[in-house]
Amino acid sequence: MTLRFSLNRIDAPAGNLTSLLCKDAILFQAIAYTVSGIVHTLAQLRPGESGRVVAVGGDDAVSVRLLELGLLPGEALQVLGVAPLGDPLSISLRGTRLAIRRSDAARVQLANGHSSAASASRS
Amino acid sequence: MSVEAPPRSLQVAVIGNPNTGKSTLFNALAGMHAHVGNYPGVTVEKKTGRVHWDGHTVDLIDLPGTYSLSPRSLDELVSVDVILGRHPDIGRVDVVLCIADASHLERQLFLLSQVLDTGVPVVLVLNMWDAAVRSGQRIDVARLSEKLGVPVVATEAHRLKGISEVRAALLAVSDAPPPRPRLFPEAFYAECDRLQTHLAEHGQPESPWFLRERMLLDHHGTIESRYAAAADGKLPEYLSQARTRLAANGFQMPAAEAELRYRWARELLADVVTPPTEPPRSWTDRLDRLLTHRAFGLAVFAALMFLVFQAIYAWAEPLMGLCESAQGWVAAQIEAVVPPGPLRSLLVDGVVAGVGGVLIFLPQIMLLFGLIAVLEDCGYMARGAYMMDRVMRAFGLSGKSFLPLMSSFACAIPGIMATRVIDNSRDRMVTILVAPLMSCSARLPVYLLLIGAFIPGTAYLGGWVSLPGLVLFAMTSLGLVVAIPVAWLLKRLFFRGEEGAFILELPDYKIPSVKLVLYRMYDRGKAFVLRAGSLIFATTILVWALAYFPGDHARYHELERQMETLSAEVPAEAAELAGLESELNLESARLIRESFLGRAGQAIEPVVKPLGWDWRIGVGVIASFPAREVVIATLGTIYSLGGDVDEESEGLRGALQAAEWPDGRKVYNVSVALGLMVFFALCAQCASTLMIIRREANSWGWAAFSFVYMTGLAYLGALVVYQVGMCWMS
Repeated sequence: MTLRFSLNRIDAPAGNLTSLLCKDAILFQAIAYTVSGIVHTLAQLRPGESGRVVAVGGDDAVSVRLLELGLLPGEALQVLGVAPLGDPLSISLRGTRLAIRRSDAARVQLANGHSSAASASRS
Repeated sequence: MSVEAPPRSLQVAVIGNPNTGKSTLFNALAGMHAHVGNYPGVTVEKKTGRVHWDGHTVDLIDLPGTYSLSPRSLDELVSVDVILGRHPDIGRVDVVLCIADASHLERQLFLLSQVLDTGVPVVLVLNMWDAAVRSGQRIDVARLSEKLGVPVVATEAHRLKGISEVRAALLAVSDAPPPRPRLFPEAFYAECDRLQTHLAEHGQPESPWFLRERMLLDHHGTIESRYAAAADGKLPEYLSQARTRLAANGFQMPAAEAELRYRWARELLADVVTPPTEPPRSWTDRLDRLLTHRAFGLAVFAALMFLVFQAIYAWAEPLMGLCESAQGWVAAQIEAVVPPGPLRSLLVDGVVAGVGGVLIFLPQIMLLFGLIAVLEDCGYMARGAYMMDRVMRAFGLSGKSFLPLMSSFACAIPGIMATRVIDNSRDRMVTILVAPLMSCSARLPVYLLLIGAFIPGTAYLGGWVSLPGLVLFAMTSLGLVVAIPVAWLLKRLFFRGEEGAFILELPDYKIPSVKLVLYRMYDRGKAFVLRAGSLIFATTILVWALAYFPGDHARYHELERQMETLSAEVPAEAAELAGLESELNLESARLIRESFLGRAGQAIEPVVKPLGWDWRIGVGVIASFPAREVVIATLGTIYSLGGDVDEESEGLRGALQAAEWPDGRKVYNVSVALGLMVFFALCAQCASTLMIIRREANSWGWAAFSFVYMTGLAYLGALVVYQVGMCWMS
């Protein structure tokens, strides 16, 4: 179940060989985490929950922007809140506060973090 | 500092992430001497300021706030071109002034590392130093400067602290480029060199290192397309092979660039910054929980937006009235000196009306930009965009389009100018193009006149809802409803391409700076008057000529002269005056009919007949293309009531109700009135709006497009309403 789900998530539009390779790398990483049963995406977090970035799927403008803003593997983040109409989310990352749409957040693969409120501040 | 240095002439490009206080610092450096224009072919505003420091001439160039230098659009390419000295409008840039928020240094150094890769000398400014100190961070500026090999200055731009140090650092900067951080694997640098060979072999001998780096890093990037078009078509294939080679070496785009730059920043800061002692921004978080709360947050937002709307709708009113009385006073002064005739008409109805037609928008523009500056500077603007994003997605836009579109309900001119808050250029263009559909205050008189004359005052629900009220509400919302499919279509037809992520920084709340707010009001007001004002003025003169010529005005001016010798105060003369006035009204009705404008109105009768309009409505509509509110005065003139009627005028309502076709049928009925209102709701009848679109979109093409699509839509709307209405009534 979880495995199928994460595979679909990573299904970026097929580009050249590079992006395929790139996709594969993320895929393997994701599968590794899926096998250990801890992969989920930023879009699934609830306010107050936190996690650690495993990978950002895709190689289009959206993922480039996410990467540029520092959503990099290993980075801790925390969901601070949800906008009144249910979307976007506001997250804390590297000491800054960002708003991100659920559809974009779904590309951000997470490993389980800790749910305590203080954990998202940078290490 | 070298005191005896010979006078230099420096070009300084100013760049930084959003929310780093860049404009405040730019203003502090450039003073009030900033010059605003547009870069050709793109929507980016070109802001430059020339200052003289200790005998040196310094040109400051403000670049748009950005998180990175990897251009994904022609707009973003401008910054790269300017820094590399490849922009024909700017020429060589000697120094890049890179502004960073001192309290979030790690993320800010991402942009700096890209700027360093350009090979242009850099001065790094750590702005908002006080906030970093407050959060308990300690930053070793000297150590950072030593490690980077570039001058670093700490500033608090809003308090004008550190400004003279920035000046000194800029003047002292050496021509030698700073050390370029070697943060990529050697294989990457080797690929950059191979790429140069490839480009040289294909007719592109000259390619700066930074552009080659970007070609390799940016998949389907703007620079790749530019070079691919200039060289032969082999480049994309070559680049994709090069990227494959790099990927085989473990260098995966796009993640690798971000990872390596952030790693570089982290290592750089390791012994430079001591992290905050306590978690900062706690009170911002607490405020956020309140201000973005499901119920309370929305209520506060609604109240604030109401305030903004009220300001441009109602508070601007007295100031606009002042403009109008000043205009009337000047016109009276001219009338006292210049005798009736073409010259007086040109001066009063052309020149004075033209200047007045520009100044009348100033109160709204300055009030709106004052409020926007407050909301932006205190950090609330980003929260508004955050909360409204879900709503604006119905338009295919983001939360940032909410305020410009809402402002357009008062007037599209300040609304379109407010689209500068939207950083995504495609979203900004779509917002500019649908903003004139919002029901601006100038449409209201038309609705009130036609509803008053033709819509029965039926009440429903025990008087709580009335038919006129419903019609007014429907007309006011029509543009908004139509804007949704229009925006959707525009996105799909003209502004396709990769959907940029909507990622918005929610900065810490702070007290807005009065200085910045006042400056923004001044700056926007000046930009409007200087840049759009001339176009609006020219349009007014043109329209005056079209309404004045070619009719013979001899009798009209004769009547004016006679009337000026009489006084309404003297009972014996009052009757004569009234007689002359009605003759004058008849004469002006004849003149408008014979003018170019009137002829155009009659010529289009066959076209507007399917809408149920006679030539009089045609003339009224044609005459109101420059500004829709003049339709009332034009109708008054056509129906020989004189131009001094308003929407409450019983005479005008009566004249409309009584108007007949030559065969005796009534011209107006409910269907015609509704169709006419729909036409006014959707039509681009405002030359000033078209001129501001031309300025903001930096293209006559988009101004022409707005005119054509809105007029087409209006015609179609009026046609459907009239034809359906007639079928239904018969």
